[in-house]
Amino acid sequence: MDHRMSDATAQMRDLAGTAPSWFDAQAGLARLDRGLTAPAIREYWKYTPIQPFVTALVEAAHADGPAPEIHNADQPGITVCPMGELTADQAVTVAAMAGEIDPDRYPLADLALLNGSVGTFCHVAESLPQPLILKSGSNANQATFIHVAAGAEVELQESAPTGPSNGQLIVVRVEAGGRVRHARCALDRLAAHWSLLVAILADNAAYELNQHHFGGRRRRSDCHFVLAGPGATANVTAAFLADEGSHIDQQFVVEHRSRDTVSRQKVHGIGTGRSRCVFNGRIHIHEGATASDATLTNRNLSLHPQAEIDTKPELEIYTDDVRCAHGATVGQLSEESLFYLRSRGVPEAQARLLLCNGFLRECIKGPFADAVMARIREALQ
Amino acid sequence: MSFLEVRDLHVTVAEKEILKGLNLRIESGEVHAIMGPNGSGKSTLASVLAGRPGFQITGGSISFLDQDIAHLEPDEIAHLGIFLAFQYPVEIPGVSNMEFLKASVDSLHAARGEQPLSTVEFMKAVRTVATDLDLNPEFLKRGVNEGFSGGEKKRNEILQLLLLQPRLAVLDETDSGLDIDALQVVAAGVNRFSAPGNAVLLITHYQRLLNYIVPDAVHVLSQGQIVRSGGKELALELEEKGYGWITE
Amino acid sequence: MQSEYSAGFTTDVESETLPPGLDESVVRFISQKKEEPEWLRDWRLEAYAGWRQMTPPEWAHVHFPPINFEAISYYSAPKSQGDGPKSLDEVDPELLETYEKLGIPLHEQEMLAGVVKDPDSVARPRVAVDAVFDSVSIATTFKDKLAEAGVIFCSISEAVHEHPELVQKYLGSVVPRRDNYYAALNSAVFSDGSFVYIPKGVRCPMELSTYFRINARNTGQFERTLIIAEEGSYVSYLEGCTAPMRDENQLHAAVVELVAMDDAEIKYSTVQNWYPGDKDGKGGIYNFVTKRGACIGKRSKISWTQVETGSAITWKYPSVVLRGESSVGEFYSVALTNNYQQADTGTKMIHMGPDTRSTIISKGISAGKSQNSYRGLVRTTPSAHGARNYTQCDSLLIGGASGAHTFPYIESSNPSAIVEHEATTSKVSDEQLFLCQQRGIDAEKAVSMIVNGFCKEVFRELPMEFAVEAAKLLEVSLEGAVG
Repeated sequence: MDHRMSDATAQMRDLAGTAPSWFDAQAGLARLDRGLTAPAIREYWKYTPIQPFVTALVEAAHADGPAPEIHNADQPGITVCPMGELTADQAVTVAAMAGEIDPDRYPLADLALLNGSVGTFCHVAESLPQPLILKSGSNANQATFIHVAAGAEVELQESAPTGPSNGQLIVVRVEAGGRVRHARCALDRLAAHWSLLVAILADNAAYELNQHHFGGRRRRSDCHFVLAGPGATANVTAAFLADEGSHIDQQFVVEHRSRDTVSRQKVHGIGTGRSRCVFNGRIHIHEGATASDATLTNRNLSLHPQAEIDTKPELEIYTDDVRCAHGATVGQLSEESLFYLRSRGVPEAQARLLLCNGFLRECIKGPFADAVMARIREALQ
Repeated sequence: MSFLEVRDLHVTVAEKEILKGLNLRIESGEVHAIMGPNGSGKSTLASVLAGRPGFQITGGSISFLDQDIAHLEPDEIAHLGIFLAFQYPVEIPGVSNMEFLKASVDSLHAARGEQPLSTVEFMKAVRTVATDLDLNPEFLKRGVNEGFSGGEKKRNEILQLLLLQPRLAVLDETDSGLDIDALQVVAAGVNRFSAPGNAVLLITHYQRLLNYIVPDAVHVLSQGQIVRSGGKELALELEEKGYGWITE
Repeated sequence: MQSEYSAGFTTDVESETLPPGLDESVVRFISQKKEEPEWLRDWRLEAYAGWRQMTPPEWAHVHFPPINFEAISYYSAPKSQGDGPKSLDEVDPELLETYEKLGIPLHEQEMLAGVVKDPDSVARPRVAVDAVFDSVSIATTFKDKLAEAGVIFCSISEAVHEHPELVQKYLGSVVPRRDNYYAALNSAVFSDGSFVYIPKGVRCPMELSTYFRINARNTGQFERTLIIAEEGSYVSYLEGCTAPMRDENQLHAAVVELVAMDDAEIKYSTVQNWYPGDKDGKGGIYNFVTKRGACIGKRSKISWTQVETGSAITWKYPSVVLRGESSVGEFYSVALTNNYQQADTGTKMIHMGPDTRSTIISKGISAGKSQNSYRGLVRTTPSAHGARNYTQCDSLLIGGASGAHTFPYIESSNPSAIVEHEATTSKVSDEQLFLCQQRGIDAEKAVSMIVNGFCKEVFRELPMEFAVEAAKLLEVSLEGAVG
């Protein structure tokens, strides 16, 4: 495996020249090489082999895929710039944002950055009346950096592209008091998709993420929140469903780096059909991040004899003045709820359907809710 | 034809016999109360009548409107017209009360071979009942019993009773944990349901509820059997003397 | 005031100690010294060959410089023991005194294998003790009495000679030789340990106990325990550990294997108080232990209870493989770390049989600059229909410089299985402390009370006398953590 990893680095070397000027391509290649071969990779990719992603993303990087599109970018208060044409100031900002990505944990990020010619930087100076709609091209490996100025409020809507193989790196920095609502939706049964979302939040900034991943031949999603300033909050609700042939791996990390930071994570998943659902949710509270408050709930329903569910909620805590709790369950529908519905005359099959719907709906919010609910009905019928 | 007839009923839960030869007969138009100390088998009787899984009928029979219901599924029993008001109504986050009630009303209509209610008719029916029970119709959008207070949950049970219009209402300790105002609302609901073609089986530990719903008969359940039956005055006697004098 | 580690004295006894270093000849020497049969010698050599190819695990949340396995002596025995005493009368009085000082009198009377000395305790029940001093078992008490019930309780070296068919059948059957780095090392060089066999239908008439003591300098302790409970039998087994205060780190790499047949129950309790190192993190035991039970029989039950307060580094995951239908696994743990201690401990519950059940209750307390991690795995395989697990992991932090971590892995491959995990992390609240202080209880005592309450669910699982000692041990270990 390690041998082929190094091949990946070699194959990316020719793209080093196309990387944007602010990006130190040699350092990126070195990080990529180290990250792909380090022992830690086995833990981060315990239930999902990384190799197919590496191969696909290297290919996608060479495929000259289309640049990501940002719709509604003509609103006042917003500047959009291709990654290759950044001003000196913008380059400093982007480099600092990229510096927040942990290369050991996310070696694939450097794959996207090396291919930075298909990337976009977006600066949001003030609150936007319309949502920004992010559309990435199919068969592409691309990066999007969004910088939200102090006090600005933005809504992001992102639906994953269909198509064989995609990579998506999104880095968002929210300055003091800024707010982001981010809805993500990926419903394609056949997609093979990797994505990394890194959100860095300054003082009192808030990020709300609603993520819905349903199906996918091979889908890996990493979300990493850095609560960098006092009072920053992250609120995640996510629902996922793995139907026949799906492999969905959802990873969440929330780093509390500052005092009075708050995080909430609620993730519900269902495995139907032969499939694998993987969940990893990590709460990391740094020394000095006093009065932090973090909770995480991950509940999973297993509805097929060959639906495998692997979940790992983690706590890593280095200060005593915290309130932290997490919980994870794997199981079936509650017998008591089922009986309640049936005692009201609802036949068993319908009762089960209602309960499964309800279970996922608890974590379904935002603009994609209708599309997602339709997809659930289709999957559960 | 008998309305409800339970004969020599034996029920086992987790390999332990709870009901040991229980007999009970209720005619239409009647209100019966079953009282008894904790652990006497009151809630087991309620559960068995509604077909709750995990309750093994090892002997005897239950006939409802001349049909043997002892081994029917819970939804089949509901279709025949038996309604159980739960002692601990279940919270189902994610499934709205509206969705839940609609599914229930639709399936009962279908089982009776009736045309389904239109959404407008349905909403109208629900709103009317909800207003009578002092439940803000906003509750319809929330998850089933989600975040409801004890009193709200019990009122939601009575709302379902009035909306679904069963023939037999079994109320399992519906009075427990209710303050006096909520108790009156619940009692008014039950009295409204009570009619010549229907029957009510109240399961309760205390006499209090019987001040508001006057029973035609009171039975004392002890160690899995009915050990005494009488009129409403029996309840008052129990209130005064406790259960000891009968069960010992 | 920093409390003294009361078990930290050394015993001045002449030892036969192998020079440091490990190669095949050391393995052969140990085997020969113990006059082992050929199969066991080869078994060890095979384990050694496996170990040579392995690398130390790096996934645990603990940090220490690489161990120099060449600097460790793999065999040390008090010279006076000769070929091993035939009866208690032959045991070196110096050794008897050592155990007396530790509160473990080895004469057969009312007694308890304690880890904290408690001279005030009276009316203790009878406990049979196997005392392991460095590399050898020096005495096993109540053997005759146990033999009447058909129970075999002796050192594993003795069992190799007296009950070879049992040892050969079960040794390595639960923890294979190459299971992990430290288990492989143990399989190559294990020197002694306890052997227990409870025949069919027998309820062991008394608690069994092993008391481990590391005394010699620069030695490692590699004991091996094997407990077999036949159909319908029951045994409760206690284990205690201490070591002198020394500046260097000493390695303790034990393997414990439990086997439970139909309807058998094994209750295994540990109070681990190895020397934790001083307040600056110097010295202390590296406690790298593999403990695993196999619930082979239907309705069998294995219950691990551990109170871990000692050791510089703890790396142990007492686990249960639930093969038998309706078998039950339990893990109750209190792990307390103070100063610079590091603990990475938890359990694995592997559900293979239908209707298997497991419960995990873990309480971690971190004080000083210590790091305390719970690491657990609950796996339900496709054959584990109706399996159930419930896990509760709570962490308590005392002081802002320590760390508390939780790494639970859940791997479910059966749709009828139910796995539930909950974890919380909090500190001793200021309100709780204030209430106690306002009522006249000083801060240290108050914290100790609160910690005890926090651990109650686990202490409840210990035999009563052990629970009392465990509570005292926590109090002693926490001294200096407050204020």
